[in-house]
Amino acid sequence: MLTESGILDLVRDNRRNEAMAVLLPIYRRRVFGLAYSYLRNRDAAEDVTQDVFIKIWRALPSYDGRASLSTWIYTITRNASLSALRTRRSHASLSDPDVMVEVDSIGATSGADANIDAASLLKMVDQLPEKQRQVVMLFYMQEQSHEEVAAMLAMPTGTVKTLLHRARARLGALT
Amino acid sequence: MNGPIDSKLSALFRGLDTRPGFNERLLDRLQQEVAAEARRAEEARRLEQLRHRVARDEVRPWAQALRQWVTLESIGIAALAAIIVSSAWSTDQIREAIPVVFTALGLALACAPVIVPILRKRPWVP
Repeated sequence: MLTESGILDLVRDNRRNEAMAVLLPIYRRRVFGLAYSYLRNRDAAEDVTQDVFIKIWRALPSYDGRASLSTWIYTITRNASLSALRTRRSHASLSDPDVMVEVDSIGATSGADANIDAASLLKMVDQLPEKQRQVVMLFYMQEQSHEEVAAMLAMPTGTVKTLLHRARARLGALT
Repeated sequence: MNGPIDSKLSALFRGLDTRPGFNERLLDRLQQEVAAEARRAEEARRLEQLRHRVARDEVRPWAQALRQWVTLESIGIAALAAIIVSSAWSTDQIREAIPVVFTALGLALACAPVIVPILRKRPWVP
């Protein structure tokens, strides 16, 4: 896999499309997850993910490597998500039909009782305070490290650990 | 970690991803973006050429611009006008008017480098 400096070299050599081909598989799910954690709506999160990659493609020539690539991409994603959120004035919920389809698919593989559990659990996650909900989603979406989630949400690792601990305790008490 | 709540949450969010065809849709948009960027670059180039032409025209010396006007056609028109004027007026009237005409012409030529740029609101560049 190409390192960050390798991607930067591609950008400097005016090989933006190749740089994008490297970036996309690494960051697609992370960007989508981060956008989803803000928007709680799959279609909107996917739109934002597309917009983020278009913005990255446009801005790559001006990326100077002062911030790490991941920090830069997560900043673009957070800003785009917040902007989309303001536009939508959304009251979307994790319990939207798309997510319930996901839950159904989980249920299909682990039995009817598990399906009911998944739906209830999703509802509980939805009711968590915003930051706790985001941390839980991102942490479990890709088995992220605390550090990665902290980078995605631009918060200290200690805060992520605290939020995750509180969320787990809350969910554990409810289940 | 690794308690029942962890495995449930992991199962809940692990599969969350973009829909199939996401990369293809993004590629389509990027191709449109490439085309749009090429159009923007072409437009910028055209505008720059236009600006360059305008700037070049602005700094062209007034004498050079004058030379553009002094053509065989313009000399012919002037000669024709002179013949018409001389045939319409008597010789005495013309003789009386000659010093005035030449004085006015001289003043106009002397003031041209100052007046023309003011009228055109452009700096005079010899």
